[in-house]
Amino acid sequence: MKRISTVVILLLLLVVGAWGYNQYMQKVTYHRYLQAQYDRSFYQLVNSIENIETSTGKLMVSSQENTTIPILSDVWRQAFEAQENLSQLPISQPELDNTSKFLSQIGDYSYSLSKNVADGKKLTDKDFKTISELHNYAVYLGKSLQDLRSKIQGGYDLDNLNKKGTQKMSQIDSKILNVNMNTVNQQMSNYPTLIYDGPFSESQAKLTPKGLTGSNVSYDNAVSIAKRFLGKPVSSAVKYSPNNGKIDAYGVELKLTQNAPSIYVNVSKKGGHVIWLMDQRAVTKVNISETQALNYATKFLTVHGFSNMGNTYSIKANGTVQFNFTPVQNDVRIYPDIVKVKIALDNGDVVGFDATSYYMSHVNRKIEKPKLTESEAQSKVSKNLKIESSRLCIIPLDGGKEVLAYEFKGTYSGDTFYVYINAENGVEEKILKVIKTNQGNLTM
Amino acid sequence: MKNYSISRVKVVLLILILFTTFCVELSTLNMSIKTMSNLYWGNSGSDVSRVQSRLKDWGYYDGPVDGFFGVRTWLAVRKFQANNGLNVTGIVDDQTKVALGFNISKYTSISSTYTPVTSTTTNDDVYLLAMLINGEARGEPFIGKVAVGAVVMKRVRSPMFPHTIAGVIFQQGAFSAVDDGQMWLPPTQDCIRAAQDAIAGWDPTGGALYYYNASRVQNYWIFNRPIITQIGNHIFAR
Repeated sequence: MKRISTVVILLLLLVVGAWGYNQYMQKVTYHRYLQAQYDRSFYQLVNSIENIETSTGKLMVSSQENTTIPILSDVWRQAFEAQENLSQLPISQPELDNTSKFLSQIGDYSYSLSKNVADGKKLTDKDFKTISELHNYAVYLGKSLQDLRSKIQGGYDLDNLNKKGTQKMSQIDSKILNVNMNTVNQQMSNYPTLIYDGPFSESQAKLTPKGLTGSNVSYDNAVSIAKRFLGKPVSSAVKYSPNNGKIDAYGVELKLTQNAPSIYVNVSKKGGHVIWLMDQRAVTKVNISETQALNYATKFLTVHGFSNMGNTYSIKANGTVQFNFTPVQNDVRIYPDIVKVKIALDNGDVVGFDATSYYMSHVNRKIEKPKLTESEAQSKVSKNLKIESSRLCIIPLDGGKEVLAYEFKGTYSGDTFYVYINAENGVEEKILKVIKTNQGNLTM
Repeated sequence: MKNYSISRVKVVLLILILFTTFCVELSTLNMSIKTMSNLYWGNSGSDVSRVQSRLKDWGYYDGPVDGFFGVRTWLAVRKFQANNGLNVTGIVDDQTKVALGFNISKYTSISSTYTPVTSTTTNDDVYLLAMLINGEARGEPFIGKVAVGAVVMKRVRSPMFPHTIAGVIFQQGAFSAVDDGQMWLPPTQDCIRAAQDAIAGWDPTGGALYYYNASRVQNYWIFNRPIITQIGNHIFAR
């Protein structure tokens, strides 16, 4: 009897052992796989940075645009790739901040240079100075990363890359901090990635709000401004956390009834303007049409002192429609001063309002007469585009500049495009493509 | 003797249990390799939520777009099939998919002339962002959910972070909901709405790049970041 139980226990051990071994082997496989992914990212990162080194070196000796443009495009591409791989590494973000920023900037810089060269401008001495400076940092980064690679590569110990990598990377990163990026910063551009919320919905370069007028208001004052803005009787109005983001503002939380979802309003400290409003209410029914909603939105803007606003774009989702408005001055649409209004389709109430861009950039603009006529500008647009409409507008460019441009809306084989032609010199500044989705039209 | 036989039964049972778990383990590993092309009761994921939102748009479905194929989705699919002259099975098969307007074959022929497109990538982005919001800020008020989404969108535009929504979300150690797997719960309707708002450019934070839960913060470097505002339990910083 005893022998049988021993056999049973042995069998049991065997089974458990086999199971455990299987689990262990799985773990090893996964670790190796993960490690290989990290190693690949790391190798590609070093590779891209070495290519940036080489290309910036070549730039110093190139003089013709047919060589300069491909090299600049290559730097841009490599910088983008390096940044993607950098963000795949198991190293925490604060250790990568400056390196990542450096890569973005060298990419943006070469992109804007290649545009300049394509427009027929030569690289200046100042450009070459900046390029050589950037080249030196790329060399430093490449050397340090190679050094790091030799220390952490191999083995399947994940902690190795994680701990040592993080430590080393923060040392490397702190050196990058000292780059004199002044010249580069001016060229900083929005990345040509997806724009989800209509053309020119956000331009980042402006730092101080230009459109705020008036003297500072108190918090209590802000609460009554918020109540007036909503224009409906409220059951409670309380202060919540102030906001010192792009525009210094007081936070006000309003409730229509005791149990209704809160409505949040931000009122600027300077001048007491409502810059932002969000109603948390979910809209479940649709009672009014989009045209009616647009009327409500336009009326709301007029009541609150935004006159001469034109609707440029709309998104419909979840029982609401969001309209983007721009001021229209002498028939010119001013895209930097965008105001967004969101209307609930059940009762036509305003459930969202955002005038941050407006207050950031609105000034009294003197609009120059365009040098090109509309037909002259239209001749610069591709013949493939079937033009449906055109108008004059002011658009924000990379680096916070604004230009007067002709906007041509047209179709090509069923796809809709917006093309912007500079009204001064006929340069094609931007091409946006409208993406159709089931929520509405997005412009890319 | 009696005692002994009972313990033997126990041992045999134990072995059986161990063997079955072992076998189940192996079989599930093999199972997961196969991909499910048809959707039916019990499925979940982004495909289901795409079907749900399509059915909702067309008025067949009035439940939440949560990516879970439950009773209401099943009923809606049956209703849709009945109205469109398809076999009423409650299963989203190839015919139903075509009737719903989805492209079933990946390898359609590519024509040599330019063809216009309808994008679904944006929908996937909304769902991905909604999952993150759900994992990170389920207990927060709606405005707090939008705020978390807005931080992701702000990072996408920042030179210091990756330039895609997926890149930002899956960056190493960026979000605890990714690390602890909470992100993979089906998002609530509120989270999907918040994700849409964030993608449409609504930012309650005024440009925050970071946030932390005041009561549960683990990274101490984050205290050095200039604070912008507090929404719900999250403190937002530049």
